[in-house]
Amino acid sequence: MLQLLEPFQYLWNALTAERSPRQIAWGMAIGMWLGMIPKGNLTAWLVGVILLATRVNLGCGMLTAMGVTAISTWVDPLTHGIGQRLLNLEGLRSLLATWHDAPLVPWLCLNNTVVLGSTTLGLVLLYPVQHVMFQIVSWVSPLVQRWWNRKADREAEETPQFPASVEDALRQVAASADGTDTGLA
Amino acid sequence: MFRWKYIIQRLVLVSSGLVLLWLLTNPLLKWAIVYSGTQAVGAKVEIGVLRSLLHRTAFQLGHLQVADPRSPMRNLFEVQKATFDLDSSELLRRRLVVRNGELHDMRLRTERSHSGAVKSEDAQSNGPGWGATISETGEAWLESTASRLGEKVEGDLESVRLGRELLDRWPKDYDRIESEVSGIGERGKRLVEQIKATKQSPLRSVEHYQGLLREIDSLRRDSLSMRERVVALERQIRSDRVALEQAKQHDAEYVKQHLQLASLDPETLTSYLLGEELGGRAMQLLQWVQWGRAQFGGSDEPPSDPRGVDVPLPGLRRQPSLLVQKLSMDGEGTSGGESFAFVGSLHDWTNEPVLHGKPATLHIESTGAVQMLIDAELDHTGGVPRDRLVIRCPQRHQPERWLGDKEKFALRVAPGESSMHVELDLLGDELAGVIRMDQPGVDLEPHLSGTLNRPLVAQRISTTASAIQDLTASLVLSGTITRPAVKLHSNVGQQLADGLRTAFADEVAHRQEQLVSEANQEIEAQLVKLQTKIGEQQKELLEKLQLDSTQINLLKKDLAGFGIPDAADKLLGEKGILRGLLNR
Repeated sequence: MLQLLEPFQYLWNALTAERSPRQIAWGMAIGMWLGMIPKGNLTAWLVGVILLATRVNLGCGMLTAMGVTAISTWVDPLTHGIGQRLLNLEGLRSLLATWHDAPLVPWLCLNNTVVLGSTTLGLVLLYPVQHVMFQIVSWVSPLVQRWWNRKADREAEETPQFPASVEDALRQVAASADGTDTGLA
Repeated sequence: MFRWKYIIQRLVLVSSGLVLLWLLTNPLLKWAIVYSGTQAVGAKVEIGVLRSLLHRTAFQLGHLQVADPRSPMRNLFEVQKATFDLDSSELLRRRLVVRNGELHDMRLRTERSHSGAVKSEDAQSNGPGWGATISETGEAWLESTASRLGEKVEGDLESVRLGRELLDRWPKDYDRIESEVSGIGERGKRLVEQIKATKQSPLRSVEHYQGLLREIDSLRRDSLSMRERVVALERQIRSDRVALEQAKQHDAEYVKQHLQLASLDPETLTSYLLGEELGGRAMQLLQWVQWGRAQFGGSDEPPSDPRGVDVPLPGLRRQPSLLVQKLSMDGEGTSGGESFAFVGSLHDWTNEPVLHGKPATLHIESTGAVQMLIDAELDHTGGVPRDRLVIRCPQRHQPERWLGDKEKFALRVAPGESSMHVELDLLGDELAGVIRMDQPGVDLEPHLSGTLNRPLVAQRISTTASAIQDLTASLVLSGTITRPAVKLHSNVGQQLADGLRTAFADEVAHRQEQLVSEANQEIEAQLVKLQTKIGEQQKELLEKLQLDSTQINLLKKDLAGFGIPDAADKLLGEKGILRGLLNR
């Protein structure tokens, strides 16, 4: 029965394996980038692949992506303006025109103002967001760790501690014979 | 060397993603087709089963139903199996190109178990349409004719009125004269009695005798005047008869004008008989053309993204995002209760015809009870859309049908074979077209009812209808597709119009004579009877007045017997008072 659950365990581990503050911060930054881009085009898929392929916290990345997607339409006017300005650049337009007829390139939808604008904006904001999130996570993480440890200690005190092995049991008996409090009731 | 834990974890994730994609492809594709189809058609699109064949870049649909937006409880069509082969290289370039599509076992206008409506405000009204409007022009003529034939004009005839007046006046006049003459007679008798009484008592005074003479005088004058009145009345009767004759002539003219029929031209009659049939079909056809143009004519502008604007890139030849290079179809349909099978193909249909540069063409052939060829070309590649539709139906079984209104005038057309040819050209909104219908060896049976059903008319129309061997009609369309103008022509209209006009004109003339003579015959009989009676009364009256003169002679003798020697002379001599009366 437990063997059937192993794939889900792998999945869970994959989502939560990377726990360092930097990995969490990068996960959230890439998730933000993914959330800003309209879905249904290859650009969003590529950013999703980046999120999955890099050693970042996937859980935080996906949660951030979902949250930002929900509010991304609010920034459409901004991203549309950015995209329009970019597409007015002759060099960029020529470059896109050169590549646009290649397979899969049209699926990137980079000639769409909002897609190009949100991709660019997300890329620009990637490092700043990561830096800010890193600072926050670095500050919050020890507090969370301390709280978690305290909780674990409390639980440990409440639960009777049985010797882990025969050697430990003998050591405890010897200690009690010496008068050292072993903690055994 | 390899961090297997990391790789395996990522592989699991990628595999999960791919599995999810594979599982979701069919539902997503189904949703996309249903959504876009519903938006395009304006009614529900339902798919039973969808199977994507990724290795072939194709997908198959099972039991596709597309509802009719104007009749939500019916399907426009239903397809049991549809296959679409897509061009994979175009698909990689974000263009949906159907290289070869097949619609198998297609059925038209099938019933639905539930409504296919998506928007209630799109429901079409079931107004009378053109067919009924065209036929109304001919109905107006028949209504007018029927009311003319049924109209009662006897009350308006002057001769009838005058005759009735004379019938009333003459007897009264004569009764009055008769009573006055009787009165004179009575006075004469009284005078005789008085004179007899005087004989008994001869010693009466002179004044008494003078009174008697005065009475005799008065009697004489009254008799004379009465005779004049009797003669004057005879003259009056003669002049009344002359006036009556004049009134009869006037009435003949009046009836002739009043019952005059409005002119009937062949087009009016054709509209009445064939307006609903041909006009109704034309209207239906134009509605379908208009709807098809709106739904499938494509547009000059590219499909818009809900988010952002797609900027055209320089030097890049834009191509349509959706193109059907070839779509073949086969199926069955019913028309007039009879089934037919059809096969057809659609080429080069796209949502952006200006970019594609080629017109879309449709070709359908049907066999069975309805043999038909449909060729359509939708050329929206230029600035102004040009559409052409040609429908040839060389042989079609026509069941028995009625042309016109059975409540007034209708033609029963026996079952037979007919052919139909339709050509429609649309340049922008400008419409030009013709619908031709031919039914050789036709058997027509006219049917008249109400006031129009007269033996003479029925016989004449029946003869005219039996002479018609073929039924040909053409409906010429012009104007615009939203406000079309229609002109109907038919051989039946020309031939029947002549027959109807003649038949009803004869009927009206017959009715005119009948009216005048019927009315006057009655009056004439009464007047003759009255005139005879008056003639006899006149003789009698004159005889009465004559008798009174005889009585006066007797009076003379009596007065002479009284020994008044000159009394008799005074009364009855050459210059006697009463002599004049006796001589007149």
